[in-house]
Amino acid sequence: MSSWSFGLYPLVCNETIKMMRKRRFLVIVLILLVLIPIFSYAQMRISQESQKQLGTSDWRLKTEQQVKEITNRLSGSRTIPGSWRQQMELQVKQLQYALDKNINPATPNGVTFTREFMINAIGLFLPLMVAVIAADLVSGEQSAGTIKLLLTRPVSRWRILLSKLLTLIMFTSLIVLLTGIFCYLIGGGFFGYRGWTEPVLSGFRIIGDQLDTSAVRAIPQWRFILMEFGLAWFSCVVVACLSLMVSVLVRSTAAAMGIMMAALIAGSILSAMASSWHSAKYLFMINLQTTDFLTGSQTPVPGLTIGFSLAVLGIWALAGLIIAFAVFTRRDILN
Amino acid sequence: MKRTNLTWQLTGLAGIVSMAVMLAGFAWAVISLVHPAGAEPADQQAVSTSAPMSAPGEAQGIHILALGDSLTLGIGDEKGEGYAGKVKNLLRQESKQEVYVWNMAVSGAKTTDLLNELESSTLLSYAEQADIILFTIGGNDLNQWAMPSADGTEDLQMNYEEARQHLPEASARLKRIMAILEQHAPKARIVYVGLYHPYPDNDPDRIGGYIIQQWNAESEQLANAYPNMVVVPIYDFFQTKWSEYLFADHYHPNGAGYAEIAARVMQVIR
Repeated sequence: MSSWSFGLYPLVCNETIKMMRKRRFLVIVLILLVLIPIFSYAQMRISQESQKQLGTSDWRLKTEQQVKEITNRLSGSRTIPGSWRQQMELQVKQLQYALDKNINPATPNGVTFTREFMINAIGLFLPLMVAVIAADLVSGEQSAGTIKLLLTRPVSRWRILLSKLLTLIMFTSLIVLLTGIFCYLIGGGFFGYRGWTEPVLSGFRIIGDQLDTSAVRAIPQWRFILMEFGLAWFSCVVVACLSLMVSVLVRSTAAAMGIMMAALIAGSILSAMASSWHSAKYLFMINLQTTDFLTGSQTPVPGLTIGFSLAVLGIWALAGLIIAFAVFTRRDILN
Repeated sequence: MKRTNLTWQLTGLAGIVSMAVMLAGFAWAVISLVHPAGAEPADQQAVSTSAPMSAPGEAQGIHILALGDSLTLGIGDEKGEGYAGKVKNLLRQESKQEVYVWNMAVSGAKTTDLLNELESSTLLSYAEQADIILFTIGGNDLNQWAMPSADGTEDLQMNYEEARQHLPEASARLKRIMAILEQHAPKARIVYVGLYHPYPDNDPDRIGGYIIQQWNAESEQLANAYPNMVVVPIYDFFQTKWSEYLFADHYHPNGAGYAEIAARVMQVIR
């Protein structure tokens, strides 16, 4: 086995078992199991409220009402900042398009809930979860002193770090997948389990400040979700790589986690302001919302493209890994 | 040792499977986002895939369709209800039934806007479902001739001559709006709320008042053609107590003003 896997197999196996023993992953599962029902309940209250207001579950009426509300908010207040205004105008156009094509933009079911949850979770919530499991991978061994036991084994250091990285990517994937499964199971309990084949409009593009609908098509919801989760997964893997780098550079787990959290939270604050600071688009945190390209929402810095965002994320991840490996293989382990 | 082996096998397998799924999704997303060509346009699929429209008005109760401009929207009301929201509350108390308001008003709408919307969108299908239709329109048609004075002072310059000249076109559109609503909601109670004078203090010669009264009189005559349509006058109490009933913008009613309008509307729909 070890001949073709560079001796990584037992190492990854070892890291996986350590990860499960540390219970950090379990904590994340518990967080998901607590938060998702709360969000489902809140979502249910919202749809109940609108049902109570309108006395109907007709989605067209609801959507039309939504269009009117946004239009009125737009015309009512001249103080809305430009980027928000644009976002709202785009939203109106998308809703109007959905009405024209007679496709419900949000069928109430567990699948739609899953889709919406991921869009809202990828900016901050999921990256934080990933940072929680990643931050102590190396720093934890350093503060506990187990790093010395690990490095005295006759295995080269880069293999050890690589096994940690592979394990981390595995667990990151698991977190993304479990988020989806929990959303569907719990959200489905509230809203029903059907809806995988419902049509979803995808392919809205923003060119300048105009909504381009030439490439829009209706795709089944399962396919939308698969692509959405794939993009979200990529963002999470990038966060995992950067967290691993921080974990190598910093000796204390608390500090590593603090640094990652500060970066991610700063990113979500900056996203709200970045529309006028264009060079912010080179920061990885600004590009985490990769699902924007699927939904056709305005990106934090206007005019980002999928190619650019993925490239920025990829370069950050790669740079993070290079630093992590360079430092980890050369550093003296002292206490 | 057996247990750790099992832990590893289960998590390892799950991890690899989820990794493969995510990678596939990612690749698919990138391919279809970078090369959107080859996609069939939404129109072709939509027809076959969209769920049939469920009938509105499925919940028991009274359904009100509110159309028109900022007055129907309730701009100026501290509670944000507007007269439509207040009518809802009053009607619910009196009828002991659930009352639903579909407020489709657009702030700043003129007769042309409402007419366009009635002719192009699906609003009319809701008119068919409604028990009561409330609407306001025309205020912005006349008010477009009120220009803030060029030097930026508070005083409004009314171009009454323009307003008078354009009155017939606007009321022709009102006639058309009423006809469309009547045609699609012959059984509903249709209520048109008349205009009031928002600048009585700025109109010493009462020329503006005369034009508004002309509009109101015309709307009553137009509505007279339909037995289920009424015009509710609100000119009178805004004339006498405008300082009490107008919002800080000196144009829209405030909460108290909307409450008075709602009280008037209630008289014809209960």
